[in-house]
Amino acid sequence: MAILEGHGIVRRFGSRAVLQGLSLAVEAGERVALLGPSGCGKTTLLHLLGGLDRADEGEVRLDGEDLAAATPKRLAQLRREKVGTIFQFFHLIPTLTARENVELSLQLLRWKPEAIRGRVDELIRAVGIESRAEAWPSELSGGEMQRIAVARALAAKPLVLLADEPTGNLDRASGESVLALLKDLTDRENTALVMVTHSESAASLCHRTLRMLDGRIVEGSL
Amino acid sequence: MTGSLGRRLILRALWREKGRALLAMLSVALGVSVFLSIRLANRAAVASFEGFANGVGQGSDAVVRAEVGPLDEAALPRLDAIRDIAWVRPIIEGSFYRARSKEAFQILGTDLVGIGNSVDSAAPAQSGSAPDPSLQARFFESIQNSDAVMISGAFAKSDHLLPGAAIQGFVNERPVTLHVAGILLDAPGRPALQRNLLVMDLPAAQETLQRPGQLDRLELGVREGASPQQLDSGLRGMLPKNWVLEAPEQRASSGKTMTAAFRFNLTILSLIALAVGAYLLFQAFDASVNRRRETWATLHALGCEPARVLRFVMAEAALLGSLGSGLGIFLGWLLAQGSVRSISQTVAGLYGASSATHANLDPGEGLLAGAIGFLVCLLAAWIPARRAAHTPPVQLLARGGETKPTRWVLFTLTGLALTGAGATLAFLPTLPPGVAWHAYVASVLVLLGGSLASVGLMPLLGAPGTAARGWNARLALRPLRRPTGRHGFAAAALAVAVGMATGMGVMVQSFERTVQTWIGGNLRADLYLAPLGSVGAASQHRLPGALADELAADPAVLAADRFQMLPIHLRGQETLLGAGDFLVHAQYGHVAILGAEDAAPILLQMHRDGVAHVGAMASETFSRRFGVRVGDGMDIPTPDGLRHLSIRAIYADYGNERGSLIVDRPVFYQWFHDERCASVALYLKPGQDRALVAQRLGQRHAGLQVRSNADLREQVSFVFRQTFAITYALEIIGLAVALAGLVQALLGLAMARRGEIWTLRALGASEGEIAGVLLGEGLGVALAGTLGGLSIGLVLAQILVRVLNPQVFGWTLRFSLPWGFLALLLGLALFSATAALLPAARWAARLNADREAEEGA
Repeated sequence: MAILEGHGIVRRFGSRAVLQGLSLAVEAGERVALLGPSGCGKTTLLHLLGGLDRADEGEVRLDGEDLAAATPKRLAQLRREKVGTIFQFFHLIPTLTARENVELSLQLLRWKPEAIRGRVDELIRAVGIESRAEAWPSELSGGEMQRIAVARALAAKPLVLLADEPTGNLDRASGESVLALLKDLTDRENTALVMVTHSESAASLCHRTLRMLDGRIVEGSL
Repeated sequence: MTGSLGRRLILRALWREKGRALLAMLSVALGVSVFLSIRLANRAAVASFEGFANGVGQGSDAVVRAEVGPLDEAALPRLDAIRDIAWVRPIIEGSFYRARSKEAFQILGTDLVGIGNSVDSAAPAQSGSAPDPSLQARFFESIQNSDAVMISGAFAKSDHLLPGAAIQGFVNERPVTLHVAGILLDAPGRPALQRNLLVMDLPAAQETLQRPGQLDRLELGVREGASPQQLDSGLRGMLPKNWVLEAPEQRASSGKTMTAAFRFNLTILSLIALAVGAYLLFQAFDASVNRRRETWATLHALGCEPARVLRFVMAEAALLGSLGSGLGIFLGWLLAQGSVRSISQTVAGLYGASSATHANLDPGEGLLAGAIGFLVCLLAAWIPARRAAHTPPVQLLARGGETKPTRWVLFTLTGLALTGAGATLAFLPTLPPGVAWHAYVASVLVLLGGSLASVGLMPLLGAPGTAARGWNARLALRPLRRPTGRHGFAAAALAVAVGMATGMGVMVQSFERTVQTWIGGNLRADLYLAPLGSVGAASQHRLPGALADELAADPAVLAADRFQMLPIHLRGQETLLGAGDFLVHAQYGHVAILGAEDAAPILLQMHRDGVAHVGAMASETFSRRFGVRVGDGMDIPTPDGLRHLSIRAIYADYGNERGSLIVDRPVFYQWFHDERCASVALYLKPGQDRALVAQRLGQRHAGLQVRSNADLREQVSFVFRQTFAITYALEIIGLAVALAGLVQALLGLAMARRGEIWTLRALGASEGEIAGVLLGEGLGVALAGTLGGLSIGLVLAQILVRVLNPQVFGWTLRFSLPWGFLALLLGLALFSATAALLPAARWAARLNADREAEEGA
């Protein structure tokens, strides 16, 4: 069953249609790579799938729920409970330590402190940054920051993880390490992954690859 | 200066950042406009002291007045010898109280026929046609009636008065009915006429005021072809003894002296908006330079010299400063029209001589305000411009530059050092009276230092964020632990505004409490009687001696203290000579003599010494103005020549800024042959019902106001509220500007943190939750600014109360903290901050996802 579906999605910015009637479906636990040149609409699509933006036409369904019909409050709840997001530039909150950044997702869900502690410990071990857990983001390397971002995105056990060029700002070794981590954790937690990337090797870790051009999917099965 | 590249860089940047440019321009405009409007309004109010000449007749070149008391009309023919060189306009002034509207009017008597050509009347002047000579003749005939009066167009319009209408009221305590003979129209190119001016022909005015043969002054104007020097030499040796010749400016400056404290108060306050505006401008330029750091880095990389980059930023500041100042001058003129009424009412209430209704745009004042606005703008841009010019490109391009923490420890320490230096400077020991430069410099140091030190409060307020468990508290408070420049400027600007408001609030409270205590201690009589409309020491109303005797002889009265006050010229300065019944005062009253517990022995001794060895009490202000102490002697001008007295005591007096010298009443009568009095204080016999006696006296003498001690206190409170009403308005403007800065800072911070906001949204935080975080951060800044401001204000108040007032005005005030006002100020600042920040926070929480998406599409 598709956990994430899009049908005939159109998104315009002014007179320019960035997405032009695009459709796709992502199964639970499936990893999908989105490839394409800059400006083809990959990031826009990711924002629409995560309920961070609304389509001008068409429909996006997350776990069967139509995002167009959801109120801003409901959208925020869906993002809290069912979506994890990873950014190219990590976007760690600079005033929170590494551990606190991971805690943030669970605090938003109002988990009990003991439960938060357990889950965060587990994730910090899983991403391998136990020794850096109390460090400030400014004290971390790019790879370490992205590991924290992965842990934060997966903390609430989302149904789908949206990753926007997660290795785009990392060196090769760190990038490979983060990709391996993503594969491992999404497998372990049966989380679907939609990953925007320019890297063929990153895409090779996914079950499917969709190629985009000018707001349309031009290659790959939907 | 900057070439086409500069024009492109500056103009396009301004166009792209229209909002910021507009805000910066408005910051300048607001500061300039408030400063200018207060100065223009104040100038207009004070200008009405300059009298009649500027209003209805030609301006005079010189004024002749008596050193003391009135001029004798009989001596006027002596001036016939100079009639070829100059015209002479005799003037008499008095007060008229209109009971119906409870308004005081100024009666001005002059030779109306003599200046007829300068006066337009609604009756004879028909618009669009030449004046009819027969109508004019009838008009000039009618104004010679003893009850004929000409009124201002404003008065006629507001009260629907036409020629022939009756105006009923009181002159001194006598009921008088005047009839409108004509309406004075505002003449183009001349200042507008005061609303409450009643112009009468000289004999009619003398009869109405019951001052036959008396004049207050002569205004002289040089005729065409003659020179002021000819007039000066022509008059030399011709003027009777005790007549003095002065330039009109001296009269104006005397009026200005009378309102010095009030003007000082307003000018200082009008600088708040400029001071706070300077912080906002600094903040705006800092943010602008920060946002365009890639531009500066690129220019450096392309080989652009640092000096040229500096010129780009400064040229932008100059452009914004010019536009803002221009706009500010226009707005200031507009604002002045509104504030002139309030200021004029206050000046009228305090000094009884002003009713200006509109303010003209004085080019000098406009230029001054514009120049200050322009310079403030350049100063505010200087440090950001230097940073753009001298920071290496690599540093400019480094990520996070916009949210780089400021050196708050350095700011705090520097601020504390400046505050300490200011406080030390203010309390320099024993500077001569009148010298107060050190207190002004100290006040600026305290304001500047305190506002810088306020930045250091933010890490303290943010400290709970370290251990906070909730994510909201963490995100709201932790940025305060390492405040950025934006945090710092917003807190500092608010601290300046709150600091000024606190300082003024404490000073006002101290002043009011001191005066209330002084009144409570000094005014022991049961009832105080004065002609209706009398206000303050400058009042021209007088009670006849016979009426005072009648009041003193009332069966309910134990004793009566008759008080008289007369303006005199001493050592080229105008001051007041008063008279009271020292014997009555010693037996029943009380006066606060500095350095003496009991005034009675001193008063009795002066009474016993009589005219043989005249002793006088000098007010604290008089002592400061004339540099006299107990034991010093002074020669006082009287109609019969100079008379000598010695200062026996210095007493506390908060009634006027000119200072006063008080002698025993028999001495005054002997010297001036005047048995009238300005007011009478009655001490009632035991068992008398004060209210009943007051009611009976009030009914018997409709032209008198009968007030109890409580009424007087209430009147003092009223005058205080009226006096400081406009100062509160200015404080609110200062706070509003600071709050605008706070909102600007919050939006800037939110823009710089939009990545975080975006992340929080992606993680599922609702807009309300994100807005809550931003609001919490903003309120933290507001709290730091407010607490810092309160602290600054308390130090500033010490300087104002303990140094400036005694040094400048000779008023020793008792320091008193207005707890209610301070709590209200704290509440108001935080409430207004919440109200201002909430919509900004909600807007920032919704920072446009489209833009992000578009950028990354």
